[in-house]
Amino acid sequence: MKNIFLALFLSIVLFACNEDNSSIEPEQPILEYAIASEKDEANTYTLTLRSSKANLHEGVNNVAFVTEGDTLPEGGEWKILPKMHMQMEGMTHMHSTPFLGFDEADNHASGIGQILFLMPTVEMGSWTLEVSYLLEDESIADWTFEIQVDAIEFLAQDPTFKTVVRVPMGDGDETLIMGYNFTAGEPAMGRNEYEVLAFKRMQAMDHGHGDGHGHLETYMPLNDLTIKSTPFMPDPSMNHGSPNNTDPSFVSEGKYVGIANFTMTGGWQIKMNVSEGENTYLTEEGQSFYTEF
Amino acid sequence: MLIPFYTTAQDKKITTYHLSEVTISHDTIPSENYLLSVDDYMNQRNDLQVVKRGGFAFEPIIEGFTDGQIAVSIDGMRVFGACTDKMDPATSYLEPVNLKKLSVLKENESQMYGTALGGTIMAEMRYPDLSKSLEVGVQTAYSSNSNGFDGNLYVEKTISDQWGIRYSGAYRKHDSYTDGNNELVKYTQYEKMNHTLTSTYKLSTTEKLTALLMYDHGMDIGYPALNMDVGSAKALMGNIGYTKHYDKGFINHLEAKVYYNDIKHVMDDSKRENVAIRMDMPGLSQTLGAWVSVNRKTNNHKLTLKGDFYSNHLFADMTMYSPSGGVNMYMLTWGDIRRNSFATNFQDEWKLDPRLTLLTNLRLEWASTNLQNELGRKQLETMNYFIDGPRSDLSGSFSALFKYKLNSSIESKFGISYTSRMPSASELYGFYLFNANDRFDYLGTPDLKNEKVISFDFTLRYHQENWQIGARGRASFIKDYIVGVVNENYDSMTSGALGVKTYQNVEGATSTHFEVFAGVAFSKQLNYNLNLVHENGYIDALHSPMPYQRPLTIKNKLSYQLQKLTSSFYYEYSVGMQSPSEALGEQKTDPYHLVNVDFSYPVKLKNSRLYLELGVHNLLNSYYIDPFSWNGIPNSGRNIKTSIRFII
Ligand SMILES: [Cu+2]
Repeated sequence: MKNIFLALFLSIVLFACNEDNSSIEPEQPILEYAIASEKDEANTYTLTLRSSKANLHEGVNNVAFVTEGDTLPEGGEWKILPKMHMQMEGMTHMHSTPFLGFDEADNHASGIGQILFLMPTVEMGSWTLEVSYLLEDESIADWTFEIQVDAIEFLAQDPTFKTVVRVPMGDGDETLIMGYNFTAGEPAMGRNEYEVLAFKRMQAMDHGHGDGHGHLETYMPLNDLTIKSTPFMPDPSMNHGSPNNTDPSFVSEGKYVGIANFTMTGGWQIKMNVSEGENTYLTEEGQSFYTEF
Repeated sequence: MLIPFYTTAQDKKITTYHLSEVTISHDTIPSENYLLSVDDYMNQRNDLQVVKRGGFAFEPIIEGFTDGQIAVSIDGMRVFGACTDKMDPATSYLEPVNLKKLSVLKENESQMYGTALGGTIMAEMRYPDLSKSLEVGVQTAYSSNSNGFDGNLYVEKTISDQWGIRYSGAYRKHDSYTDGNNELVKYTQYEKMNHTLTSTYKLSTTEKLTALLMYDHGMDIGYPALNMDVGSAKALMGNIGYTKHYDKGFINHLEAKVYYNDIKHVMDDSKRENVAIRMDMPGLSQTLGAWVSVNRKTNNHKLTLKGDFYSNHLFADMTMYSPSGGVNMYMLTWGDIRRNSFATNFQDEWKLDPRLTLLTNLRLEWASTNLQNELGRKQLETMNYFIDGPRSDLSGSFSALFKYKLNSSIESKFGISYTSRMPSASELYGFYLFNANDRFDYLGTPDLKNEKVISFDFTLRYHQENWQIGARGRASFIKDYIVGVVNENYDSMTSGALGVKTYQNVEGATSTHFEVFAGVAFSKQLNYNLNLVHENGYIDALHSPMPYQRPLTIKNKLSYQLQKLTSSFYYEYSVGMQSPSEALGEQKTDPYHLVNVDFSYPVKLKNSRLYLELGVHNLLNSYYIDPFSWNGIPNSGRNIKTSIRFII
């Protein structure tokens, strides 16, 4: 299995196509919603951004890039780079966001991956997704999607209720980033399988240039976390948890899968205790995943 | 051999209670006097106990057996309440003005109407008997304590030789009552109305068709022992029956009925203060059923064979309005639970010799029970139960009862029975049902086993011309007793709840019932009756007494006829709940004395009759808590009830 890409310097990802030259086209899993379509800069290839939900949003999004019309040459690689452009005091500051997946790439599509948007589109900040298809390091096509990432808002007003958990990891500039994804799409009453995506954010190595270009932070998938979880209804009239939950456990690069039982609809926290070896990064009193349904 | 137990001699029809049945039967509604509500009526009976959660809708208990352990048959229909919190026992939809008879069947007889461990409550409705061309009765009553109005009306009309109809209606409205300390017991108010239409149509001298349509609507019913009241409880019931007698032939009698009933129950917390969370909790129960029964009489045998079917559907959910402005919450408490049941019942009364009769009864019931709602199933997944189809249950009972007449004055009965009953819908699939008595949330257990009981019954009666005395005892040994067991791993859902209990089968529980009864007719005008009851039960696994065991209680009734004035004096003494089932929420209660007096005086009018009635209930204004009352809600203090009824 190919390594899950981690955004490195310039956060560029390369995915090789499947070297499967059989005459039968491999079936691409197509996500339900088309978010946007773009022509490449040479106006040859059309690429569609697809998602499992109608809109992109803060937190974990299941997405895929699928070509339409002319076929790209086989054997290439995909590069994906999400970028947040922030206007601050007349200057543009940029940062990226973590993602993983895109394993089943070929010359038609990137395969399905997950982008964890750390923040929504805001007045002073917009998101782009830069996508390239390269053949032997030679760019065949480049696309830029200007995308809207919706904020997730809750009726419950508690600053620790999160779609994206961010906590400092001990000393230094490193931050633990976590997002969740319900396997069935949305949380529901009953038994819910859910994924926790976990990354370590490291600051860009080069500070102070301020040219707004080139130096983005990096995200490293975390594979050795121990996550203890407690689904809980924080509404003061409720104040209870649910029985028979399973803590998220490691399944693949940066990804943990657990079971959360929701005994009714409403607002649910998934409180977590997250540690790595001796280090505890998060306790159940701190930030928690939260959802309302 | 008859001893009048209670007479309303001023009526042309004298109501007598036949003591030829060994247990004093008390089951005929005093003719045309519908002053009492069904609740009061059940409460005064010797063969029935009630659980009170407020001023209305008492839950009947038969010798410590409750709910899923007893059966209720209303005019041959199985009726299941639509409330997850048992606020609406099927009997709460009845009105005495509709009733011909309300019987409590025990031992053998009880199995004809459902697989019942403890017994069956059987209500028979009044149908026009085609004996009078028109009869109209009106009654109104006022209760001082609850500023209550009770009124009823009936019209019975014979339309042709073959056809008669009867309409009856009742309306009651009571404010909250005050207890014996003259303190208001909040949320004991209630209001209800009932409309019932019955009809008899004689197809021939041996055949008849009957039909019933009943609508009952309860409104603003308070339940002080619970967290919520009831906004509306509506029941619609209907049936069509067919009866045929055969003068000769293999069978002598055939009876069949098809029926449907629909109950909608809506709880209401809008009148309560300091509610942790506002909720909507509607419930629905629909039952469709049919049965056929045939009888055959030979010299020594009376055989009955009955086949019945019913299909019951239960649905209840809960919408919870976040008090903090958060998102509202929703859950199903009964997720479309469907039970289809088929049963056959065989009964034989066999005269072995002139002194010895053997009654046997065999009942077999097969049922399929399903949790149909997808969300309901998903909810149960949180308890690691994955339901993908119905469960089947076989249940039933076998009983044998010997009646032995030693001589003309001594009679005895000895019976043994084995009954296996399937778990109720709530016990299987109920989801976080709050029990306000023990303050636990209850979760169903979809893989419960049947509850089994072996019971022994013994009755001895000695009687002379004008008096009788007797005793009855029952001992029951229960296996796989179904009871809520605390599960520490589960969080309670209801705020204020102490935890969660799941229904479990536990080994070994026993219960005993003992009663003494006596009656004396001093003269034609004066007679006296006594009934003493004491019950005991223990659940080994919980190291706890069984709930709803009647502490020693003595009921006395003296009836006296002076000229036209009928009076009755009722005195009840109970030692109070001494060994409560604390594990299941019962608490100790004090001994109490209760005195009721009733008078009835007829006034002769031209072609009609007028009755003036006066009742003083709880004459001593005793402050007392019924031993089975939930959460120590005191009973009503002194109430003076006056009534006028008029019959043409
Ligand atoms: Cu209710």
